[in-house]
Amino acid sequence: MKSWVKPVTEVQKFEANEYVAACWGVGCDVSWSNDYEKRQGDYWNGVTHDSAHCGNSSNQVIFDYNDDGIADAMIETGTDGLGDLNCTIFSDPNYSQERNVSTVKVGDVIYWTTRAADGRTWNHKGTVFATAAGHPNRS
Amino acid sequence: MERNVNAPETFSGSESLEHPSKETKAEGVRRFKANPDFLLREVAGETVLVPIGEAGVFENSVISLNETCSFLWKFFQEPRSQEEAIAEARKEYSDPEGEMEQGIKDFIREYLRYGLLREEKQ
Repeated sequence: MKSWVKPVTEVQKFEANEYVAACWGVGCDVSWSNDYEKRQGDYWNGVTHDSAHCGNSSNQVIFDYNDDGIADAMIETGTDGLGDLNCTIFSDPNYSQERNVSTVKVGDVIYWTTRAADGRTWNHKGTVFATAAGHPNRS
Repeated sequence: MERNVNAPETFSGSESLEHPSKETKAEGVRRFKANPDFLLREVAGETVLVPIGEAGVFENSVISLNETCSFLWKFFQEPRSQEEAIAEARKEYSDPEGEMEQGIKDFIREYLRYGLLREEKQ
C-alpha cells in the first residue's frame, strides 16, 4: 500500500509572450454602467448595457497591432446593431481624464466610452483580462 | 475526457463510490464536487489541471498536482463528502504520520477557497 503524502498543488504563473498577448479583453460591469447612465439621464434614451453585448468580455478587444506588447487600440465588437465601435479610455469614473490605450495593462480597471453614429454615448467600466475568448492568439 | 473514476487502476472499486451509504446521504452532510471548468491531464510526466472555461485567478498558470492531490481530484469528480474521501483514501494509502485526515480537510478548504471545488447544494 502506498504511503499518504500531503496533497500539494503547485501553481506556476507564466508570462504570455508578446504574440500570445496580442489580444486582451475586458467585460463591462453592466450594473455599474447602467446606474451611471441612469444618473446621466441617458438610460431611458436607449443608452443601456447588458451582459450579451458590452458585458461579454469577448466583445471588447484590445489590439497590439505590431506585437510589441503595447496596446494600440480598443474596439467593441458584437454590438447590438451598431457595428464595431472605437473605445475612448479614461482613468476615472467621471470620464474626465482620458487615458492612452498604450498604458493599459492586464488587471487594470478602466473606464471607456463608445459612441454610436447617432451621437449616443455609452459609459463603461471593466477590468482588463489577459485573453479574449474566441479571438486568435489567446494563451 | 476525464478518467473514469471507477477505473480499477485508480480506485479499489468499493461500492461506496457508486452507492453511498444511506448514512452519508443524511441531511446536513456537506458534499463537494470538482469544478468542471478544469480538466485533469498528464502533461510531460506531470499531472496538471487545465482550465477550459473562465480560469479566473489561474489565468496563465500551470496547476500541477501531486499524487494524493490527483487522487482527491478524481474522487471529487462526483459529489462526495469529506468523510467519504477520508474513507476512500484509507483504502488506498497507509497513514504512518497520521496526517491524512487533516490533509484532506486542508485540500477541501483550499480548493473551495480558490473555486476548484464547489459545495453541492442539498
